[in-house]
This record gives sequence, C-alpha cells and structure tokens, in this order.
Amino acid sequence: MKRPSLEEVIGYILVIGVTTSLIMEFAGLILYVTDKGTTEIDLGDFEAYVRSQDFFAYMIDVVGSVLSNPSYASVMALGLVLLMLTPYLRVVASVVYFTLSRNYKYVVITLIVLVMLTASLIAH
Amino acid sequence: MYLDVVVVVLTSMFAGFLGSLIGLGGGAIVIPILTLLGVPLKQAIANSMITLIATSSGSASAYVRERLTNVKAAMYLEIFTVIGAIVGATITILVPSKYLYFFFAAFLSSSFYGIKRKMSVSTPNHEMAQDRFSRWLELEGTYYDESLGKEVNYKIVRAHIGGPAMMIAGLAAGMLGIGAGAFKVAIHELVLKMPPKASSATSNFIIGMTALAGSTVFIASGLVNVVLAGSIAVGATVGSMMGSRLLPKMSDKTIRLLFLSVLIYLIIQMVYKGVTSP
Repeated sequence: MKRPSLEEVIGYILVIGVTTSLIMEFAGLILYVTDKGTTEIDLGDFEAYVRSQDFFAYMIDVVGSVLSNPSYASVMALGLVLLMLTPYLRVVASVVYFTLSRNYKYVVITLIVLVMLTASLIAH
Repeated sequence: MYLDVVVVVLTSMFAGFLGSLIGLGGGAIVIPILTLLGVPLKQAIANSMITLIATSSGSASAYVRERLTNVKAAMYLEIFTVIGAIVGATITILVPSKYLYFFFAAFLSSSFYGIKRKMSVSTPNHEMAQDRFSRWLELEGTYYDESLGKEVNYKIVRAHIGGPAMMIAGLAAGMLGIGAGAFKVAIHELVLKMPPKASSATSNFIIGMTALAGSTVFIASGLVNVVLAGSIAVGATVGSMMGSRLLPKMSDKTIRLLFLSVLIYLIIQMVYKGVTSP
C-alpha cells in the first residue's frame, strides 16, 4: 500500500479536528441556552472556566464528565480540548512521517516543537 | 455590562468575514470589538487566541492539500514562533492591560504592509542564490499557480535570519491573541523570499500552531470561558468561510478601502482605550 503524503495526512487531521470541535461548540451553545433559559453570558459563572494545570489530565476529566453527565460546560470544554489537540496531532503526525521517511533532520526539528508544546501543556 | 451569546456569535461572524476579506486575521478585529462589548482585554485575548486554531485550520487544510504550504519551512519556523508565543502569553498575564492596548494599536499598524503588498505584483526570487543553511534545511518548494497558469519553483534564502525574526512575530501573537499574519507574511516575503501565495498559505498554517502555543499558557490562567470561546469559534469560523467565498467577487479597490477604514478605526479605538484605562 502506498503511504499517503504528509500533506494529505495533515489536511485530514486539520479538517476532522476542527469540524468535530465546532460541532461540539455548537451543541454546547444550544445546551447552554436551553439549560440557562437565557442567551446572556455570565462571566462570573465559575463552572464555565477552563482550569487546566495539566492539559492531558484535564482532557481525561472532561471526557469523563461528558460521558457520565454531559452539561454545556463539559461539552464545550471537550470542544476546546479537541481544538487544541488538532495542531498538536499535526506535529505528532509529522514526527512519525519524518521518522518513517528517515529524514532525521526533520525528526529533530519537529520533536523540538513537540517537546516545547508538551512541556507547556503539562507544566502549569 | 451585558454579554450575549447571539451578540458574540454575530460580531465574531462579522469579524471573521471582514478579516478574511481584507486579509487581516479575525483576532485583530474580534478583540477590539469584544472590549467594546465590555469583556476585559486579557480575557478577550485569551479566548480569541484559542479560537484562532479553528479559523486558521479551515483554510490551512485546503492550502496544504493544494501544496501551496511549505510544510518544511513551517516546521522550522514554528520552533521560533512557539517559543515566542509561550513567552508572549506569559507576559500578557503579568503586565497591566493599559500597556497591552498601546501594544495592540502599534502592532495593528504593521498590517499596513498588507496594502502595499496587494498593490505590487511580486515575482518569485531569482536573483539570490540559496545559502548553505537554507539548503541544508531543504527549504524549497513547487506549486501550481492558477492565475499564472504554470508551476512556480522557488528556493528559500536566509533561514538563519527568518527563524529568529519569526520569534518576534510569535511573541506579538502570544501577547495579543492574534495571528500576526501580516507580520509573518512580511518576513516570508522580504527575508525568506517566498512567493506571495506560498507565503500566505505557510503563514496561515503557522498561525494555528502559534495559537496552540499561546493557548497552552492561557488555559492554565483561568481566563478561558467555554461559553465565550465557543461563541467566538462558531461565529468567526462561519464568518471567515463566507468571506473567502465572496473574496474573488470583490474588486481590489473596494477591499483596500475597507481594509484601510477598518484598520484606522481599530487603531484609534485601542489607543483611546489605552489612554482611558486606569
């Protein structure tokens, strides 16, 4: 089987990631309005804030709460998590691709980006 | 202050629409509007930054598959924009908003490069020989240009200057929650000598990554509100899709006039906010 090009792989990651994320956001907005009975955004609503010191732990939390007790806050938080995962997975895919094509120069370059992003995602 | 889902979705749609028409990222428009609606500046920045991933990735996916994006150049330059954005977002959390308003206004001014660019017809680099570092990085590209009706080949030069320069672009993007697309395109064209289409497409691609890097800092800061960010994401993405549909139908003169008036209005508004904020 012919290996797909990096461009194709990245293109699909971006489209699928952003589309699913926006669907979650839209669903979350509808849940919000039906749940609250108003379209007003309350910036003092504590439940609506993302508090992620470790992104991957937060991601597992959010998936858990969407599965057990879906609310506007968890559905929209999952949408944002998917949104942030999209470019992240694009870097992961690039590392894998350059490793398979034995372009070690670019394995190092993409790994530097991946390590910095990962460190900043978990170290707060 | 009364903030409303419908109002935020519609204004973000307008910002995304206008942004993609005039080539100014949606963030640069939506942030000043959010502050007009009463959202604190830092919160407007943090929530707009995360939604930039959505608005940039839509068009980025199309450009990547059309091979307009130079993926290798993007990967190399992202090392620098990611560092810049993480540092920039951290600065934003620490400094008083008053200074951020002025910085925002100053940075918007760099977008005037976009007008100069639209007026001149750029051609790919033929006169500069590729240096050793850029060649070592395998920085070259080929794409099919529909308006020229032929393949365009180009070689990137001066990657050792372009990289660090992109750190400044990343820093500004992270601080202000914007893509800093005009600034990135300027570096791609003036320093790296990329042809215009490859330069726009690659800049757009990098914006998604820079936005992620800034967001890694903002999600820990307690500034990201899911309802606000969700409303902006949905509105801005739909708006920018509408804008890119309409773009081919509009004359360059109309776009330039629209661009100038929007830009000048935003600059005045941010300076005013900076002067009047405590």
